[in-house]
Amino acid sequence: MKLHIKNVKKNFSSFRVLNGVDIIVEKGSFHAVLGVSGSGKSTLLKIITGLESIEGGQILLDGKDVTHVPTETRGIAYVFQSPLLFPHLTVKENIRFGMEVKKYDKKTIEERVEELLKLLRIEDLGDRMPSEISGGQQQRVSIARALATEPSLILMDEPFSGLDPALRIEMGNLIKDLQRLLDLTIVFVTHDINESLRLSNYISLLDQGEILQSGLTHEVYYKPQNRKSASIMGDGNWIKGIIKANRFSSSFGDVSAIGFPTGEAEMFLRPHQVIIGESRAAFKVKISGISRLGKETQLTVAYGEEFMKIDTFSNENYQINQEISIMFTDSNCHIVPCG
Amino acid sequence: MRKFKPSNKTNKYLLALPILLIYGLFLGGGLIGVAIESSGYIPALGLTEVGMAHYMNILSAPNFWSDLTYSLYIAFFAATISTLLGVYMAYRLLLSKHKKIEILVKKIMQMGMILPYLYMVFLVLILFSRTGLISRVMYNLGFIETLEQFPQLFYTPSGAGIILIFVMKGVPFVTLFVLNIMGRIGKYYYQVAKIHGASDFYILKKIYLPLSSTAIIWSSSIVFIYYLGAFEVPYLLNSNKNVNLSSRLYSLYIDTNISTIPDAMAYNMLLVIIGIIAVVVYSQVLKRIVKGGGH
Amino acid sequence: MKRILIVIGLSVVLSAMLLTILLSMFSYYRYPQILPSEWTLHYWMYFLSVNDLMAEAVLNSIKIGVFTAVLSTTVGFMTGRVVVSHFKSNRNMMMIVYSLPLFVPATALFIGVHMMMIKFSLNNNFWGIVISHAIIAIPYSTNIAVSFYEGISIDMENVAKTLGCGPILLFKKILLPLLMPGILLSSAICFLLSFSEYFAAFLVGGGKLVTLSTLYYPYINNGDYGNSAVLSIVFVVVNLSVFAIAEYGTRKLTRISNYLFE
Repeated sequence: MKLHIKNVKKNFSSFRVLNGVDIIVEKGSFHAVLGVSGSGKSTLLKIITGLESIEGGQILLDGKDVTHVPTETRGIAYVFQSPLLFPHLTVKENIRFGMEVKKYDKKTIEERVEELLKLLRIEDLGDRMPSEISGGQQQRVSIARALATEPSLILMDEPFSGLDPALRIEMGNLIKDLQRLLDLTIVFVTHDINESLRLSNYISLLDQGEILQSGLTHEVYYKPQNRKSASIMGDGNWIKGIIKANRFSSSFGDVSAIGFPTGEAEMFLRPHQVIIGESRAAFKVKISGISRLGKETQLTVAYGEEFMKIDTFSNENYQINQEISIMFTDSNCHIVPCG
Repeated sequence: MRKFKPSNKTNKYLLALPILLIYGLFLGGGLIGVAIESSGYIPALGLTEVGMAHYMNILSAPNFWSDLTYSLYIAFFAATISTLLGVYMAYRLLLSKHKKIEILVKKIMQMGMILPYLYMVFLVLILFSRTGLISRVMYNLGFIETLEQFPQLFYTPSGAGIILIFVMKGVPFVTLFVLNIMGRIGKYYYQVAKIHGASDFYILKKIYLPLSSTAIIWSSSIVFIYYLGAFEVPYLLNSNKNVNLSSRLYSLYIDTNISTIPDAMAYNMLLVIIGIIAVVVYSQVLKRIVKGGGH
Repeated sequence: MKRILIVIGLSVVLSAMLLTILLSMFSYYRYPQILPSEWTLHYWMYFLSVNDLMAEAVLNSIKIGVFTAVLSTTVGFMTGRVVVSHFKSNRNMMMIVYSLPLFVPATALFIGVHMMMIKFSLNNNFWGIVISHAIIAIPYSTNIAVSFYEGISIDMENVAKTLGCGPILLFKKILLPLLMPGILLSSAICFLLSFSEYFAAFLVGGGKLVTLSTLYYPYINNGDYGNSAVLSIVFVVVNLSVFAIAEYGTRKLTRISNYLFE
């Protein structure tokens, strides 16, 4: 189902939490909303389900305005940060809950419960109480419970943030597989950059109640519209230069910039897009900082007055003040005119 | 049908309606009725003269001030002892390492909570009165030669028996109430403070008292005002000389002489006002003591 | 030292209980004999068959207690809901408001209540006593309700809503089962408060409607050990049974209550 969040405004007393948020979530997409805590992500999800009212704007589902439809009839599933399993019901009863409320027939319910237990790999836990299973298992049950009524849209509010890192990745992969398998439409809220990159195919960046940028995940990642968008998704390098006659020139030479207006501009590169190596097009820089992160090494290099970050997987034993050669391919360069 | 929707204002008033009705009609209405009659205005009895005369009657009565002092004395001592012992017991139970003793003590406390005051009076009488079990045992062991040598705890101006019963009921109440909060605070702070070399008493004073101050002040104030307004225990065990305010009020209220009704109502109002002032002062002083632990 | 104190305390409590039982079955207890003598069934027979008022009083007390428990718990859980969902910031203030009856000296409070009961023709009446008892029980039931509502995350209710629960289903399928231990606890405590209350029953019942407390009082006042002992035992047995039932009930539901409070 296609979701259109249209110019949504929300206040908490006099404080504006969401200030005209616009997002379009395509059917069958895995859409991440990335933002730091306090950016209004959870509030946005609660608005989509109708758990919070809004001061302005609309929520459209497949073009139909549902802004004033009560939560229980919107048919949007919600997976919260904590599993929130009903403590007085068994795992099976939890999964069955939504179907019973919606009066599915008995046979369908039984079949679907078995199917979901299998899909989420919790076949053996059906008759346990929530307090008797682990946190990761609880979150699987809560996902099964959300999927049970075949909702047209599933919202997830940092559902794995309570789990340890390895489990987080495993659960992420599971959700990704399910999403593809069942062609689910998912809106996934997170503050974890890696998680959003790994899982989503669309992304919206939310900052202080406003959408900074929305689009295909890799595009938003490599082609941020401004410094803020870029920094929300991680480290990056901005290289100052000038555009003249369809060429962008900086201290690293010229790259083509067809269609850009003449004037000052900046070029953006993620640290891993900078390649270390000798070639005719390479430039000499001096290492000013090294931090080794296991398989990956992060270098800070100086060129002129400026600094640049480089991620490399090379095992070389770099030293401070060592001179190295770097380069990058034209096609990687993302150019943003200033002002 | 009861509906629940946090955003719905009508539901909010609907849910609050029963308590507002009960409190408004019977508590509020009762006090207003008492206040009106205390001014001397009871048309049904042909009394229409309005004024403060009945308050003056009460305040100028020779025994009023001694009754007041006596009532405050009993309430204060009983509440203070209950609070001291109750908080101490709660702290001990919190730190207890012996699960069995902890459970046993808690069970005894719960027993104390659920036994009625009247049964407590009976228990205390058959144990601690001059002809009670303890006196008998001491006599048979040769500690006393006549029962007159056993201290008289009941029907005396000291009110010792009354205080004893109040404390027996008050300690479990304060202990369980405060323990509930201390249990939520947990032992963690105790362990941290112990590592820094603090004594048990110091940790209680500086950490657990301030953190559980609301529960302490709350439970202590409730027992204080209860002791001030309690009827049956003092009425049974008062001496002839000292009578507490609530017993005196009751005697006035059931007096068959119709002309004393406004006096009784004025007495009632005074007891309410004294009660409120006393509990405010009591709780504020207690707050200073409990929260002042940090300075 | 600690152990000695506990042993002394325990033996005092136990000996008092034991003595109560003995006093109900032996009629002769002259100073300085330590235990009473002259075995008799007189007091128990008096309670069980001779004096009909006794059985009536016990029955009245139980009925009043049950209705007080139902009324106070219902009102308490309705009020608790309002307090938790609408007064997040001034919880302490609300606690004082719903506990107001506890801060008025009881004797003065009940004389005012008695006046209103006369106005509404509820004096000497069963329901008059129930309402009077509810006034001092509601602060406790509300307090219990508040702590139980606080234990239920608002997001738990939100999940149920997204799964299709309207207000009624939400109450029936989620809130009620989760509140059940609290409802049980509140009912037990309100029953015990009512069952043990003397002054309100005495004043509002006006002697026309006897309860166990109002019957019990004169026996104690007159130092009638035998009859006092019998009624004491009845008191304690009923109170302990109610307490035991509540404890058993909540233990059966601990899987939930642990979740709520730990």
